[in-house]
Amino acid sequence: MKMWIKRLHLTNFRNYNAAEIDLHPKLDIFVGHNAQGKTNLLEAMYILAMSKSYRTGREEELIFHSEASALIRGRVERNADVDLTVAVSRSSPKKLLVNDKATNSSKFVGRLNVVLFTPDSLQLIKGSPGDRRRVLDVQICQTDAVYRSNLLKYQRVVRQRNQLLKNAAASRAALKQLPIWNEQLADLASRIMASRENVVKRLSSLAAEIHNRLTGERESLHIAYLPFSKAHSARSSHESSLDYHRLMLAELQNQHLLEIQRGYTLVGPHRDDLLFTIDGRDAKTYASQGQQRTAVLSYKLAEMELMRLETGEYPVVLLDDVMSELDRQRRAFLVEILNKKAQTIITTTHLGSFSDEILADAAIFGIEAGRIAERGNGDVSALRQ
Amino acid sequence: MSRYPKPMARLIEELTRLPGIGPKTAQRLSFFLIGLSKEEAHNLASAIMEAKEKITFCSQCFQLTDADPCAICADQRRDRSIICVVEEPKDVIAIERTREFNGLYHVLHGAISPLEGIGPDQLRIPELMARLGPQVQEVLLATDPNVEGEATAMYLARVIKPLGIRVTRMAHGMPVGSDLEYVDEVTLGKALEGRREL
Repeated sequence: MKMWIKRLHLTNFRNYNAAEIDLHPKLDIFVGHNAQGKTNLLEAMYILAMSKSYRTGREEELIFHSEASALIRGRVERNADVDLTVAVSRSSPKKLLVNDKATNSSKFVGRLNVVLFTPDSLQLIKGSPGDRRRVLDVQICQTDAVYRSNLLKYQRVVRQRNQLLKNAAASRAALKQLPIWNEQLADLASRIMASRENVVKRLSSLAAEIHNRLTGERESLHIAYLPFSKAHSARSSHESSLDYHRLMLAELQNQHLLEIQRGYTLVGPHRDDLLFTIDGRDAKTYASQGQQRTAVLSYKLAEMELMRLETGEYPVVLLDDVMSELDRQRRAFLVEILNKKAQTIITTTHLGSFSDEILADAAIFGIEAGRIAERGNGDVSALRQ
Repeated sequence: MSRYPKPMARLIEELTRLPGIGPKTAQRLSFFLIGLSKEEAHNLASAIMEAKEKITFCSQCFQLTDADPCAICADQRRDRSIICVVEEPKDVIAIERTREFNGLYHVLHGAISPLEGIGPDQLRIPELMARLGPQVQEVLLATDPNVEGEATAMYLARVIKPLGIRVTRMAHGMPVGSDLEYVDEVTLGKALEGRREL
């Protein structure tokens, strides 16, 4: 079973004035030159899943030129069809609708699940701990509304607590309020950390199996959850939420003076990380570009698998400009996804590297300056040049 | 570019300052107001002025009132051993509608929030502490179930408990009259955590 996006409808979104497309349940390919709006289509689908963009925090950017508002509508087929709408306006707060009924983000997120793969996804290994946490959080939030709610609360507590620590530099009296935030911080932190540990454990074993297959059993990949206190991660792997609570309280005490000195929160899962190792060696430092790319492919496939285990349905896979040159491993990756029958949406500048077999069971759309035209088979050979 | 006559522009500007009113709504409202009869317009203006002049805060519980003390604080039939602490005046109205609570209230006028520069002293907390005489046996904390409301409840529990007064917190729970399967995960999770013995 899978969920898929049947229809996408855009009004004044980015460079699309008005666009409506019916999608293919298996494979949809958006082909066109650079800067024509291919990625904008993937962004729109991502927004339907997460209620916000991965490209910008400034939502006015989503609105076409001088228009007042942008509208993204998608019809998603799951057990029953679900209509999802996101309306962004310059003058009023964003609106989220499920089946045309207004709702809040915690009831909106999770209706459509996606796995996103862009050229930036390599940051999962090369980038900062923040990049890794973001990818992990986006995944968990889509299938676990309780995690999402705890995470949002936690981030708010950290901001409040940071302000308090900042105020403490001017007036020590502010510190008297620290304990009332610490309790919430420790409670939310331990729930988040327990979830992350559990998810990473499952992701790691799925990714290891996939990586093994993609590399012809030549490499073994392992992903470890690193709680913010590195010392802690060296201990045995059986940590329950209760232990994380204790860890938080202990670390809050240990780092108390340092936190006051720095003026921000040093303790908690906002400083967690993931460690990727290939054959036991840190992939960030020791793996080649090619090895890192394969590890990311494995991770993304594992993400997809885990979402299916969580929800019973494969998510929609969004591939932004990563299939233009299909080397052996990426071809294997694509075939693997297509075999799972997850709906796959691909942007590319040319169709050259897609085999006839793949293109035979796909919808191909030409993208030019914010216009979308579905191509028949006759056009495809022209687009391949 | 067309411009409104000055008195109209001023009206629009004043309306824009109201919460939830943007420029477009303000324009629409001002056209409506201009269309009113003189008497209707006067009624609205005098209602605003009367409310502004006559409504004050109760000197005991800080609820909005036109008489001091307010009707609840003045009512001798109410249980003076329990005080329910809320963030906003509208919360008192909400709890009163239940008819389940017969004690007194205390309105904090906000919640602790360092980001907004609000600490215990910016709220009506010193006044609450001053009310906790020997006849008060329980303080029920009914601040909002968000991050700031929880922190405020935590603060109050820490300063009130040492006085030997019972401190209770409003329960999280299932909405009454709804089917279990339609309750969202977050609410259901909280209700599970707060389950009680039968």
